[in-house]
Amino acid sequence: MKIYSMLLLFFALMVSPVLASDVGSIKNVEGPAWIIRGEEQILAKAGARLMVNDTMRTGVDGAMGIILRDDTIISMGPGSQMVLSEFVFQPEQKHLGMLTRFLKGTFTYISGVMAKIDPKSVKIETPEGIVAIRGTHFLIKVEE
Amino acid sequence: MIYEQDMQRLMLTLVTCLLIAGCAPKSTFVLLPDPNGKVGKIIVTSSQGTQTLDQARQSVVIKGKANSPGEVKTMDETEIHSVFGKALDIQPSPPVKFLLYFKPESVQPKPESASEIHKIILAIKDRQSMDISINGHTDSKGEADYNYGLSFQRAIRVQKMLEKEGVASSLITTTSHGKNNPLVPTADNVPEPRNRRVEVIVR
Repeated sequence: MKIYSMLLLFFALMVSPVLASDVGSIKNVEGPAWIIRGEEQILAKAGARLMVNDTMRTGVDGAMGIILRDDTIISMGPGSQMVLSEFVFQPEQKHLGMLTRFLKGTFTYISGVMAKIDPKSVKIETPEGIVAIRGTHFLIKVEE
Repeated sequence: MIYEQDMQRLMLTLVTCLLIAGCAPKSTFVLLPDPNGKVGKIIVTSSQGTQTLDQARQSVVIKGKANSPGEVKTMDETEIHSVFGKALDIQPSPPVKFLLYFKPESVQPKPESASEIHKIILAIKDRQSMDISINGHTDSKGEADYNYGLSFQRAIRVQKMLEKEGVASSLITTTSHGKNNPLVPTADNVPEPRNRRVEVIVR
């Protein structure tokens, strides 16, 4: 039992699990949609993990819903594109920061824990303006 | 004859309007009630000005980069659904959260918390979840390092319980917070049953 505990502690120190690198995942997809990560274009599937700097794109018949680590919920209608530019969520160290950029198409947004703890840490941009939120659900449409 | 000419003019106007509207870059924002029914607030700012939305279905448009946000209007349900229907249809429902509690220094959930495992499995199936977080915590009694190890062991124990019920480990992200993230803030070195917990989030 003691060895077992020590082994677990060893793993605890090894993996430093708080620093998981993904910032959320795709909850559901309809029609064609992609994650663009650097040079890579990955077909979006339910369960796929998202990283900072990922661009999410839906085709003309596509739609996609994502949930971020702080429970922010974002969904995208057809022909839409957005970038997850920044996401830091370490409430115990008071490290919070999030920037989503909505480039074109239609979106829904339900703010998560980060907006509850510190609304100023959450930044939302479109080419025409920025949105400051006080804990809420809203829609964005961006036309090029 | 006159009728036909009028129709042509009308069509031309329509097409031109559509083209202009379609070409001009703009952003539209609409406030909706939260999933729990409460209406929050958003503040929309361009390079030239600001508008605040604080009533359900209020909307504002910014046309181009060099303009201030237009006047606040109300968008009717029909328009909301015709413009945002696809995005609203696929909008994920909020994640479900569970808490399991532990006796001091124990890594085995209390008996009354063990029944939560069944509810967690049901939620995973119901939501067809592919993203489950297990976050281990302790109260503030004891050294920080010891508590990190303890909260990690608690989280791992819960992970094993879920895996035993058939949940794939690839769907699970486990984190350990030690005493740094209490549910109920206390002074250091205070035993607090509500802080000796593992939080499971089913997304």
